[in-house]
Amino acid sequence: MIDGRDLVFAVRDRRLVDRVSLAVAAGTVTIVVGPNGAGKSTLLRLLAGDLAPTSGRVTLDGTDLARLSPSQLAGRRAVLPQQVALAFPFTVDEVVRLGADAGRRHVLRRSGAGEPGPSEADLVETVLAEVGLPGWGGRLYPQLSGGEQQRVQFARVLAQVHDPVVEGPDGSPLPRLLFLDEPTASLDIRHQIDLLARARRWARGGGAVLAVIHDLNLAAEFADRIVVLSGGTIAAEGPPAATLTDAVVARVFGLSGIVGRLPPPHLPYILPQARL
Amino acid sequence: MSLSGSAPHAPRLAPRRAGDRRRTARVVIAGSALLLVAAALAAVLTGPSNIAAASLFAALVGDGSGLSARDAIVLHDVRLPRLVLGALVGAVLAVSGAMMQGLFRNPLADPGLVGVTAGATVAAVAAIVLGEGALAGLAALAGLYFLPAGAFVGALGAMILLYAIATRGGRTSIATLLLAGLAVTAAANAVTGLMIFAADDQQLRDVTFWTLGSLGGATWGRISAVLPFIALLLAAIPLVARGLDALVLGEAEAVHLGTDVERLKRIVIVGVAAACGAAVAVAGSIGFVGIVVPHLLRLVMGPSNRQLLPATALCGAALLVVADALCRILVAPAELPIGILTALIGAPVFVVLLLRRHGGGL
Repeated sequence: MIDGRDLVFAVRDRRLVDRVSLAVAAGTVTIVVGPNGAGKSTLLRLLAGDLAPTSGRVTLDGTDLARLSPSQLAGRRAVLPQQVALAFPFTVDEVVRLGADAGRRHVLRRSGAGEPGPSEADLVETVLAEVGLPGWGGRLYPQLSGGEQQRVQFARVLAQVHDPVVEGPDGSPLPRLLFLDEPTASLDIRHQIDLLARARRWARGGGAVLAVIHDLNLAAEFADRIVVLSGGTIAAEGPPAATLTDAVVARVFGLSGIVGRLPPPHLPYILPQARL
Repeated sequence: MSLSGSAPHAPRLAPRRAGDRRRTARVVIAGSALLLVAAALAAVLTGPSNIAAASLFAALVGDGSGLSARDAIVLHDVRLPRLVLGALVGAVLAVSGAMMQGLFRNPLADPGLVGVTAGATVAAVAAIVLGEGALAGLAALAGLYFLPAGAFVGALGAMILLYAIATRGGRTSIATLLLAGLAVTAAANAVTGLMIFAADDQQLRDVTFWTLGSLGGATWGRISAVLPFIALLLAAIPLVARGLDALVLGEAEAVHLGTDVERLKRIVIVGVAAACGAAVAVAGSIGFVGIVVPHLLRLVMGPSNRQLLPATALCGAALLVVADALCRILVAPAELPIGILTALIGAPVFVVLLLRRHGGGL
C-alpha cells in the first residue's frame, strides 16, 4: 500500500519531518498524534503526495508517488483537509457532487464486476445521510457552521472513495486510502465519534485510513495503530495500549500521571485532571 | 447574498434534488441564447441609415433582391461584421473574466482591472508604431495577424507577471492582485505614452482608437484575423470548466480530486491572453464586461463553471451587441465609444461587489 521511507521534509535548514518511515496497511486505521509543530500534518501531506519529500520516497504499491498523475491518485485516495473555504457559494449538493464525480471518473473499476454503482444522486444522498446531514443538499455551504462544513467535506471525501476497494486492470483488488487531517477539530463530541466510527467501518471494508488527531482518547479508541510524533521524528509506534503510556505521554507532552486503563481489553484513556 | 440554493423558478419536470442547480442553469443557457438572437436582430435593424425592417428580413432569409445596392452594402459590409465582431468580443471578454475569477479564486478578477488589457494595449500600440519602423519586416510577414499576435504577447506577459506577483503557494490575495494589476497597468501606460510620444500623426490617430474602445472598425478581414485567437479561448471552455469547479475548494483539494492544476493554469492563462489580446487588437479596451456578466449569472444560476462559462459567453455576446447598438443610436449621427458605456454600467456593479466583500477580508 502506501509506504514512506526515510522521509525528510526541510524548510530552509529546519527539518519538519526528520527520517520518518511509515507504512499504512489496508484494513487498518493509523492515527498520528503529537504536540503542535511535531510535523503531523506535514507527514500526512507527504504521504498524500501534496508535498515532495526533501529526501526519502513515498510509494503506492511500489510506484513512486511523483510518477502518478493527479487522476491516477484521485482514483485511489481521498484527502479531508483541515478546513475548506469556498471561493464561490456552492450548495452542499454541488460540493459533495465534486467528490462523487471525481470518484466516478478516476476509478479504475469497481469491485463486484457487472453490478452497477449507485447513481450520482443516490450516492450524494447516501453520504450526506452518513454524516448526519440528510436532505441538506440545498443549503449554501458558506452559510453553514464550521462543524457542518467539516461534515460536508467528509461527505465529499466519502463520495470520492465510497468503495474501500476497487479493481486493478488485471482484476486484482486495490485498496483505497483515506487521509484525514484533524477531521474532528471543529466537531462536537457526538459527531467526532460518528466520523471516526464511519472511517473505521470504511477501513474494515478493506481501505486504509491515516488520520492526524489531537484528542488522545479518540485516538486510543479508534486507532489500530498509533504513531506518536515529536519534533519531526517518531517517538513511539504501535497499538494504543503500547504507545499511550504514562512514560510516552510524559516525555512527549510533558504531562505525567494522566493515563489510565479501562478494564480489559485495557484500552488506555487520558484524564487530564489526574495531573492535579 | 440573496442566493437561493434551490432556485425555485425552474420548471418542475421531474423530481429534482435540492441544491442541484443544473436544470436552472440549462434554462438560463437557453434563455441567454434567445437573448443573443434578439439582440442580434435588434442590432441589425438599428443604425443611422434607415433600412426598412421588412426588406432587411427578406434580404437575410432570401437572395437580397428586395434591397437597394446601397442598403445591401450597409447590411453586408457594415452591420453584419460589426454584429459578429461585437458578439465575439463580448463573449471572450465575459468568458475571460469568469475564467480568471475561477483561476484566482476571486470574483473581482477581470482582465481590464488587473492589467491584462493594458498589457495587450501596450503591445498593440507598439505594433502600430514599430510595425512601420523596426519591425516592418515582421509586420509584412504576419499581415493582418501582426496586431492580434502582438497584443496576445502583451496580454500573456501581463498575465504571467500578475500570476507570479499575486499568487503564493496557490493562494491569491485579492489585495495583492488588484495592486499588482495597478502596477502592471501603470507600467504599461507609461510605455504606451512613450510610444505615443514617438508616433507620427497617422499613428497617433490609430493609437487613440485603442484607448477608447470601439467596434467601428469591424470588417470581415479583421474578424478572420482575430478568430483563431478567440476560438482558442472558446475551445478551452470544456477543457477547464470541471477543473475550475474543483479549484473552488482550493488548489490542493483540486489536485486531490484528480485535477491537473498546472495544466489548468496554463490553458486558462494562454487562452485568456490570446482572446483578450485579440479583443484589444480589434476593438480597443472595453472594460467591466468580464466582471458584470459572470457576477449577475452566478446570482441566477450558481457558480458552477460547467454551466456558467457557456452562459457567460452567450450573455457577454448579447450585452456587447446591445451596448454597441445603444452607442450608435444614443448620440446619432455621432457614436459613443463603447468602452465608456460598459464602464458606466460596470463600475457601479464593481463597487457593489467590493462592498459585499466587506468583512470577508480582501
